[in-house]
Amino acid sequence: MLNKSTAAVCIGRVRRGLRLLAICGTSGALAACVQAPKDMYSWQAYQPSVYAYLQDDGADYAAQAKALEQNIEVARSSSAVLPPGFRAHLGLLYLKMGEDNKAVEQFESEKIAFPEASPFVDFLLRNASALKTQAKEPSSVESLEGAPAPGQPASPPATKHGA
Amino acid sequence: MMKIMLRTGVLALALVLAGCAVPQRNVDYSAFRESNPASILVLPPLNISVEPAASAAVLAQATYPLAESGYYVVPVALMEETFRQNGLFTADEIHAVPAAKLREIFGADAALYMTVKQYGSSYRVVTSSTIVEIDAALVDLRTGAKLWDGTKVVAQRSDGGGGGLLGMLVQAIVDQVVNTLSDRSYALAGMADQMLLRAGQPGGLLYGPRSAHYATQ
Repeated sequence: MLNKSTAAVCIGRVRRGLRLLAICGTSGALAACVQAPKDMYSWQAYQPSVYAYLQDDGADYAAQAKALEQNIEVARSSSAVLPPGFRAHLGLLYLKMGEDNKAVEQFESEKIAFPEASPFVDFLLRNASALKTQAKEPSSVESLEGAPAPGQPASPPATKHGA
Repeated sequence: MMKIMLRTGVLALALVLAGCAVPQRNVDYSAFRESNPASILVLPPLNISVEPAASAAVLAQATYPLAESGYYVVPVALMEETFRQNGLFTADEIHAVPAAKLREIFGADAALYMTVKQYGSSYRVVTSSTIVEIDAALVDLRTGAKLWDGTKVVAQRSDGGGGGLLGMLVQAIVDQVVNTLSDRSYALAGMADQMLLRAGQPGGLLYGPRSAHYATQ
């Protein structure tokens, strides 16, 4: 039941002599349990990028977006499928960078790839202007859905997020 | 001395095997099958460990095992951003949001409520080891019914190669999981997510509609 990568780890540790048997034996048992066959999706930087975003450690949105753009090329060249959330996450990064059109494009492609995403993506498109207002780098690009730009008086009170 | 090492090794191995071969509890999958969820909203985990970064590490890496098990997983950073926009900043507040409201906004069939119970260095089980312990419950957002729950503990000896069977064992697995981030706890959190949330293990989640195993279970 050893999968390829587990086997590789084991082979790489041949120098460790006797320990090898123990490691291969037990990690084989564990691999049978964790079970990592061929992935359905091409994950690449998606989860680390989400982690960086959640950590809010002054991450550079442009650099992250660029990494994900490269991931798309890699996936395309190997006919691999991008995982759920990948495109929407890239869309969020674009939104934070003020690149609204590219953001909407990614949101729409998330919906096409995964119809399950439709309700949330539609919700986002209706509320994208609100997401944008908390961008670290304020942009002068027009808000989505024709909503008034931040700073201008809006018909409903736009100060929902205080706390 | 030898005796102590041996005893620790046996204890450690037992811990791993216990985490692996789940003692056969009788899991009732009837609600799960009836609900037949296709999409899962993973909420920010409650964190009762001492490490503030635990939540993000566990949350960020939960998508992989769930998606590979055949589910659509709601984009995680967008989910958190949406809660922030609505004035909800803590996992406690978010876990209190009614199922119907979550369904309305995210459109997901089910939500995963997790709690990180231990994360990072701990001296409780095996001396000087890194431990991640997670609880999880899957709840149908259309009915509010609980579909599944589970718990997982993974541990890694922090004293490198010499540290007993468990240390070597987990080390070997962790090395192959993530090498891009140096944070060992982060890698261990990813392992815990996988061992807890991958479908197809005894007592684990059922496969989702996008999995090739969906029809055969």
